[in-house]
Amino acid sequence: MTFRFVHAADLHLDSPFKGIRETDPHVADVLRRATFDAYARLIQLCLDRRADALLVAGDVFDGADRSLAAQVQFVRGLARLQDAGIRAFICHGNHDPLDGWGARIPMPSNVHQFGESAEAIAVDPQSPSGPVVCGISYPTREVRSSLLPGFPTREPGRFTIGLLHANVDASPGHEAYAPCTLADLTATGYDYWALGHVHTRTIVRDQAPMVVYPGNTQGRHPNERGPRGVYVVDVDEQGAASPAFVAVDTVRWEQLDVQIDGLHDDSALFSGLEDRVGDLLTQADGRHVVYRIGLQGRGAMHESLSRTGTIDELVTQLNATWASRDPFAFCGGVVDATRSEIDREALLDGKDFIGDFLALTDEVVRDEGLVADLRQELAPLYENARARRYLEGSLARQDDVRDLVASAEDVALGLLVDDEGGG
Amino acid sequence: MKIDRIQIDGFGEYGETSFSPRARPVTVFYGPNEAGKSTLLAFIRMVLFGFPLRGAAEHFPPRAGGNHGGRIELVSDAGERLTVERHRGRKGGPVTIATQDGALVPDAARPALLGHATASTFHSVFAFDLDALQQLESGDESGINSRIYSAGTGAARLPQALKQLKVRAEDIFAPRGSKQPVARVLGELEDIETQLRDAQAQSQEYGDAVFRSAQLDEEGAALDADHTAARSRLEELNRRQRSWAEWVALLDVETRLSEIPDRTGFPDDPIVRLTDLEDRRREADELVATATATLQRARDEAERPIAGEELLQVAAAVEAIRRGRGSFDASVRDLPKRNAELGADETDFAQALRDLGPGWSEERLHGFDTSIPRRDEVEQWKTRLASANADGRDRMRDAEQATRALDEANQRLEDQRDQLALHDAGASSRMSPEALREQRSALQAVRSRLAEYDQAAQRCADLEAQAGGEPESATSGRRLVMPAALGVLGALLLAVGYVSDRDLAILGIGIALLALGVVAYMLSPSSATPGDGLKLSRLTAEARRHAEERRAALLAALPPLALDLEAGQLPGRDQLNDVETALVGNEERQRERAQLLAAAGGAAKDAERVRERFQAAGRLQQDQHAALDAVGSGWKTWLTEKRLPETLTPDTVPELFSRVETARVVARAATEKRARIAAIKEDIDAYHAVVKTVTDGYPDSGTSAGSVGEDSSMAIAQRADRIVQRFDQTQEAVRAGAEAARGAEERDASLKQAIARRTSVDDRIRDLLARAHSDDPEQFRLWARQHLERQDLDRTQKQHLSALRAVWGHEQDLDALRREFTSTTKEETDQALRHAESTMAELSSRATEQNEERGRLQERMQKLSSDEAASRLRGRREELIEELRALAAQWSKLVVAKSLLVRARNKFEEERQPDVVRRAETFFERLTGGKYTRLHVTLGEQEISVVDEAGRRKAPDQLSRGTREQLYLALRFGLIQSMGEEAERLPVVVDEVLVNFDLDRARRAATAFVELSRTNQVLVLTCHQWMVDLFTEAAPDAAVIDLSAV
Repeated sequence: MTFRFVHAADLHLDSPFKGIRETDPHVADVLRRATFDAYARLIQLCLDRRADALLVAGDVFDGADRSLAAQVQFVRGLARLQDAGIRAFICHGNHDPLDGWGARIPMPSNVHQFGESAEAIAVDPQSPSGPVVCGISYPTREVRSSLLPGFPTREPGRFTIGLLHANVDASPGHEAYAPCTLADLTATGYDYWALGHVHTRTIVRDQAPMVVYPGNTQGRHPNERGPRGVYVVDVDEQGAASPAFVAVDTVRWEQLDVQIDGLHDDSALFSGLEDRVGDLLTQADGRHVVYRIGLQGRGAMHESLSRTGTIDELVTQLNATWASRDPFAFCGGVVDATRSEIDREALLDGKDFIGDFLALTDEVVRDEGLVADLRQELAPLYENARARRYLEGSLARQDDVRDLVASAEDVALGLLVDDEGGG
Repeated sequence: MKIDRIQIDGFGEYGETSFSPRARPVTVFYGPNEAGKSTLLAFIRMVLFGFPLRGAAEHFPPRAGGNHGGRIELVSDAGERLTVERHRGRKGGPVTIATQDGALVPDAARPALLGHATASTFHSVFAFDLDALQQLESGDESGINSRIYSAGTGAARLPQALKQLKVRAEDIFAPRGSKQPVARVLGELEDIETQLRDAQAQSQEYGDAVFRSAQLDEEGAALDADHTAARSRLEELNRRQRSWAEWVALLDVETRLSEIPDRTGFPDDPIVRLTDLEDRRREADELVATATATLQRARDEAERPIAGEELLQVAAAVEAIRRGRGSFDASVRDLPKRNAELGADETDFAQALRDLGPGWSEERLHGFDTSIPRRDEVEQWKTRLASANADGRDRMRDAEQATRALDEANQRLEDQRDQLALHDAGASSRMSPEALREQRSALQAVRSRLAEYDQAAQRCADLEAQAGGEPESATSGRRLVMPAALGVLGALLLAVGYVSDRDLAILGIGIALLALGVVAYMLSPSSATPGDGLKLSRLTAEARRHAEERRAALLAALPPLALDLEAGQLPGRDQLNDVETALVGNEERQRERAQLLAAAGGAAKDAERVRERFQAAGRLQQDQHAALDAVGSGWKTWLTEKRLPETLTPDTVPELFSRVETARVVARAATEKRARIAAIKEDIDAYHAVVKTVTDGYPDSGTSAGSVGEDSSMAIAQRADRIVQRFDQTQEAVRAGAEAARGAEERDASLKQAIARRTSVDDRIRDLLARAHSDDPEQFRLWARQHLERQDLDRTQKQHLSALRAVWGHEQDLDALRREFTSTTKEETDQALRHAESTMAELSSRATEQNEERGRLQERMQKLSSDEAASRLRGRREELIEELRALAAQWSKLVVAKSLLVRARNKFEEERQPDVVRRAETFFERLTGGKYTRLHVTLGEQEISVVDEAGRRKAPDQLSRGTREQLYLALRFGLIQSMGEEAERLPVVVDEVLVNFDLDRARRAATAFVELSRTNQVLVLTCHQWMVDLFTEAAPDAAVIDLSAV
């Protein structure tokens, strides 16, 4: 028999957008609704495509403070599926474990929520040879061991889907929750592994058994760029699965990297950005766009950009033009990594204090002791009892420290070096 | 590195100046104030390190001329000869460093060549004056030690940078600060966290609401069950109460039914049916009697006799009379009107003939030709006559125009002749054209002769004046003016002509003027050899002779002009002009008369041409009159041929044609009227004949009698009407007899049907009684009443039962229902009903309360689930976290920048200061004559102190000014030697740095400079002779360059 299911994950309903400062009310309203709107599109997709089942691989909600509105909206969407005779299978992940708070809202009868023990549930209880979904939910947030050992053995002749929130092969940039390997998944003999946790859609294995991350349904911060959505999976008579990606996001994150080399005034920079923002909207296929600007390179513009208010003014101008449109393009922030035109290499060759200073900054990023000392000097803020929780992880990476030292060096050089290029 | 030669192109007071200092030991530049010492120091600084970007006043602009800048020839520590050349320009001025063979040193190699020193370093440490030396004592919060290092290490701005970084960082975050942005953001974040916790409580409330809602659902289900049971009981009691009366009535009916015998099978509606049959038996008897009487009357009618039946045999003739009756009346009425119309037509025709004139009869009328060809003939005559008349008018108009043109031409000829006569009369004297031409020629000849004479006389006067003894130089100069002016003017015109597309006219004039210039020069006295008197006298005599010849020629040409002159008197130019004016007037009048003569000749020719046209017009007019007469004669002949009066014209003949055709129409109408009247009379006669035939053939029919005569139309009409009326009456009598016969047959059949019906009714009465097993109608009626009463009771019983079922339901078991009623009383039922109603009210109240609570819960849950405040708070929290992270990043950048600067400074001090201080210490001890033996620097404190021979430590501000300056000088010596260990040794240039020292200190300082000159070239700038002496004393081979001699 053939059947069709929709594979989604990481809905993170009612979770706020990150990496944005000072949105205007209109934009904030759209962003606040974005995860809900994406979910509504997901439900409508199931109805339009007449899917047999919806599979959600964890992280329906965003955290311990999962919102009441998110829970209510989630259940309402599932109720629409119930009206259309579509089944839903939900497993919970590290962001919405079973011990998380819930408002005890009863689920519609078409929904199966997997518990802390893996189990196999037939998509159609009346069909003894029909497809089966095997899944498990996180009992608590911290699940650091593989959950695969508890999964049922595949019943021969039945198309079997594994539903799991896990990190396969230690995917970088993601917490190693329920870690397992591709080999582990393949060894189960299942036909399709519907995974969640990694927010960037990835087909880890494109042949049976397929191992698929659909990514999240709505990008929520600068690193979650491009289309976001779900996979519609068609299974043919022979049990071959064909996943097709469908974007359901309503707001799209993008990044505009600009080299300031060769730019001489604000108007040239603004004009170039205007053109590219227009392109972003065109490419977003009618969706709203939130973008971040990355300014890079060395040039005359650095000094202007370093002045207080210049970047804020740039953002204000861009948003005045584009953020009031429908769909809008909103600039969520600017990362200024530009450097001055000072000839660093020439200064480094100098035998004076500036040369010694530059040699020291080169040494800092290689000297763990010095890095530790620097961290200690930053402790008054980063270890501050009030601020620590919000700044946690800000300087976690070695690259963060290197970037910090580089920008600090630039500030210092700007103060030390005069117009003649000397101290 | 040593300066071998200083070449100044232009700088301050120096222009194209060079100096060649010695490599060692010391070169002293000596000169008074304003001799250029400071200028030389600035030149060395700027050529090596560039002009300052700011402060143009310190650029020493070249006051003695020359390109602003110059070059310095150097010898590097490795012995390589180099030339550094720089002039004022952008970015400190373009610089080139070239090797001895001219190759340019690449930019990358320049820092090493200049000892990796910056302009500031060189200024502060290597080439300084007393002001720079004394700046160290001004100090600031960074301390003297930091200042001296800063001056030499490219960190002049380090103290300000550290301070600025600290302030900027504290503007973002201070651990105990409350007004910084970080504190503000954290405060707002904490507020949001509090609000989010409250939102969490709302979520808890929603969960409680969901739980309570489920409880309510369960309680509601139980309440619904109780309510259903109570409602069922109440409904049962209500039914019992409502049906109690029915139940009592049912019991009564059933009692009565048991008392009446059951006659099952008795006919339905027995009494009605019997009565109905008896009524029908009586109706049948009456019908039989009526049918019998009617039959008899019909038979009498059919047998009655008919009068005038013979008319029916001529029915066709009678019908013809009936049909022709209307036409006959119409003809009779139409005949007089037609006769009157005929009379009118005949009168009109007679009048039409009279209108045509005499000689017209009906025969001529019908024979007269008014056809289209005849009409065309008339039209052609009309055209011919009109054309001939039009031509006559044209000829007449032409003749009138020719007459007027002839008069006008004659008038113009007279006018021209009058004007010529007037012109001739106005001229006092008139010269012939030949005389005018002769006088013009004579005047031109006189003018030419006069010009030649004037030229010759002028040359003669010039030569006489030249021979008269005027100074040669003055006169030759003036006489050259004219040839020169002509030559220059000719050359200019040639140039203009050449530029103006080679204008030949201008070029010609130019060439002529040049030639005139040459001629004038040739003729000018200056061209003669000064002092050659013989030649001048000869020339003068020739000139006089030439002048006389020209005068004679002029006098010979005068007579034709007839001027009023004395003999031998030459004419003035005014006189010649008067002759010219008179001559021009005569020439003008001659031209006017010629024009008048030409105009008069033209007018005469015009008059002749017009006269010829006038005569031709007259001839044409006569021809036209003849043609018009011929056409009129032809027209009259045509009228005669047609027997028409000659007075007719082609325009009036068509009107005659119309009258002829009108008369023909009237004649045709009269003829048609006569035919119509004859036909009407024939119709009347024919009808009269038919009527007469019928009335005459059947005198007994009653139609022949009448009082009107036989020929009277009215009598004929009355007879015809009577015949038709009699015929119709006879036909009606025949039809009525036939109808009566058919009616008798039908009455007979009706009588038989009435008898059969009476028999049928008798049979049905007998059958009805038999079905009731009775043979007596009265008995039948008694039994029938009993049967009907029982049927009524049955129906009443069914109605009661039906009413009970309506209340209790059709499925209700009747036996159970009977037991229900018999088991209780009416009073007991009423009491139970009141109790059940009370229970129901109580349950409804509880259900209402539950619903209200459920509604409140639903409303609250809806409000809680749709509350967006928490979402907004989370969004705002993320915005604040992002802002906090941005602030933290900015703060971190500043803190790390400051930290790195401090670390670099400490490292720098640790690694370099000891060597500098060690070297400075040696110099300081020598400079102070061993009074101070040590320098002490506390690392990180950035303070320097000195230790005297007694071991006392003193801060710089505890030292005398001279000792402090010794200390600063020693520190510079230490720095210079230390830097020289790692890089090119730069020359040291000092300007009056020893003037504050007493003689001993100055001598020791000079000795120290000589010692420094072992490693670094030393150039000393001073205006004091004693300073020169000190250095020559310290180093006898020192070079002294006197700037005042430059």
